[in-house]
Amino acid sequence: MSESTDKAATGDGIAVRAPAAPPPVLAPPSAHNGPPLQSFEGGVLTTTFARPRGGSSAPRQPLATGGVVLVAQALVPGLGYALLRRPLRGAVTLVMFTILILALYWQFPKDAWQPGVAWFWFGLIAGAVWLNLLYRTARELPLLAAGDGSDAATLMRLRRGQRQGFVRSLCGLNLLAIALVVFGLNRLAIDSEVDFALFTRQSNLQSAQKLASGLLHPKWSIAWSTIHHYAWITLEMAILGTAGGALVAAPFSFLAARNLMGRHPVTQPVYYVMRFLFSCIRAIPTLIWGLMAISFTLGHFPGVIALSIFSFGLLAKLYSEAIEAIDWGQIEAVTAAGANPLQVVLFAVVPQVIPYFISSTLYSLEVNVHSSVVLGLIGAGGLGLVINEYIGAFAWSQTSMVLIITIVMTLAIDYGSAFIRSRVV
Amino acid sequence: MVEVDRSRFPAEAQIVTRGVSKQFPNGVQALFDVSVDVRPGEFLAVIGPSGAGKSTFLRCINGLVRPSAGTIAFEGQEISRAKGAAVRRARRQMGMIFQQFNLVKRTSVLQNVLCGRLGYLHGWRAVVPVFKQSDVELALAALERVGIADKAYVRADSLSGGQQQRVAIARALAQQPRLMLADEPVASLDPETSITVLDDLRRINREQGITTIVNLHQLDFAREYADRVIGFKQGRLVFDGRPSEVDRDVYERVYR
Repeated sequence: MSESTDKAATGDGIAVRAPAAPPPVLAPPSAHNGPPLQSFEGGVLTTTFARPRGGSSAPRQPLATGGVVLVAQALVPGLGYALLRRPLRGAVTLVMFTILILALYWQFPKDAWQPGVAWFWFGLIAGAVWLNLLYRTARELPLLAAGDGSDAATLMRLRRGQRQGFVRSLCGLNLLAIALVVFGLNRLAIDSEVDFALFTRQSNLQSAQKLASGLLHPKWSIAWSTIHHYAWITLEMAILGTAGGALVAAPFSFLAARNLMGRHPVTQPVYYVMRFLFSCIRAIPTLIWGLMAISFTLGHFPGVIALSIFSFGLLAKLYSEAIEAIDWGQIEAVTAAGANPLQVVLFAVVPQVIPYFISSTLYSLEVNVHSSVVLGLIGAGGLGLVINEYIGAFAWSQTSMVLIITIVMTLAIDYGSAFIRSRVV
Repeated sequence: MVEVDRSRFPAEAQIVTRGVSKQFPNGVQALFDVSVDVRPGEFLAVIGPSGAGKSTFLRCINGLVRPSAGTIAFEGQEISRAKGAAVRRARRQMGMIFQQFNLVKRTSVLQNVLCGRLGYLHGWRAVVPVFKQSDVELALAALERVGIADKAYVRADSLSGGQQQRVAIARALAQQPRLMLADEPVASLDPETSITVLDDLRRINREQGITTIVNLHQLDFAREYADRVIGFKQGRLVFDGRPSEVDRDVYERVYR
């Protein structure tokens, strides 16, 4: 819970007055729930804003005084907030505190609890967070307690009284949230077996040295003797895959455009089915489609099929979003001229979406160049295949050359398509 | 100016609306029990504040909006309940122009005007963007009438607002309509251009006898151009009379 939202929510319908109207006055207790109301009384324009959502009509009175609130907060983190009539904030605090305790417990291996070292750190961190919570509660107490039913001047005075000094501000940080993030990330790092020793082990250092020197000395001679052949295959697969996907996606995308299909009870289900289908296709990575296609036969063609299927899912979505963004007025005008639905699509929709179709298709080509390199690793041929073989043989100079070609090719495609896209849209 | 016969006989009316109401799915009641007769050749101005139902009224006439109650007949044929091809046959006889022009921006001016012929195409011609020579000649003649034939092969969005609105008029003319609907045609134009566009509309109305219904915000334009003025307020018809009758009192009745 951020402090600002909570403070903004303390008002009971806040009145803003035109200048020279001392002092700012809160709206009467009969504050409303609707849009801002304006009244013009005594020559002063008063705008009454709606009370924050969920608010009751009576001002929120604290259920306990300061000392009791602090004790409650100390016993059960969050209970103090509940006594100040901030139940949501209290609940969030309690949940966060609980998660932090669990996260701290999971930080250490099971046997580390025996010597007491773990207990020491556990107590230190949990205690610091606990004290920090109490400090922050004490600091906010006057504001939260006074919040409702106070005028703006009082609120400003209380708020201003809090801003003091660097150390106090530092202590006022939400240590609970910070600790939760830090230890949560640490927990994730433990799960994914982050091992910093990897970078310092002697044998690894030597391997890294070989790798680096190999990569820095690319074997230029193989660029024209071998690699250009594989690069061309990768590019061919990407272009064919994109073209295949685009050809099928173009007609289907009209069936998945909400503005065209969502207005009629017969066509609406088609829209939902299409959307679902495209999402399913996109949910499965190109690599998986490739593995399935390659189970039939090895070679470039299954690679093209895999790229086509994924591009179909991607482009159908991008195309239909382009269709959904069109200017409806043009459709209305062509309809008003007596055109039938097919004519409306051809003469009012297509001219509007063609530049976006071209742009999306080029974007898909960029993605497919990357994907077709990956597909090479699983047997579709192209640059992925040679990269895999050179890496397997620790032939870093050759690998370096392939990577350079890949980078150059990708950059050329990216910049080329960016240039064309900037011209057509 | 031609003196308009004030005696109203539905038999000779071109458009007859009876008890037309429209409630949108979101609950907004745009029209409430509207009954109006429009005679052939009439230049009718529709006035009223924003949200009074002027646009909905126009869209009901050409079937873009289907009334929730009541009937609308165009030249003796009821179109408020007609479907599919019947609605399209009626629509192609009604040109419509819009506040935002609604040209297909990325295509040429000529292609836009040719869109007015779409309702007359059949078979394979209907779905191929290749038009008959006679249609192209008709479109160019329509452009000639509004004085921008030289812009025929220019992209529509490269024209100024006033020129775009005249392309829209040409598109409507290419339909060879018997009725012209104009939904706030000058609301996005400066006063100078507004006058030329309204002059075009009235000239077409006078010379070809095309019935014209124009939604207007500006009362002086309504007084100057129209043969008859009707006023809407909150979906109800609150005024129906001659332009000369539109005075302070009528203004109060319609806009307050």
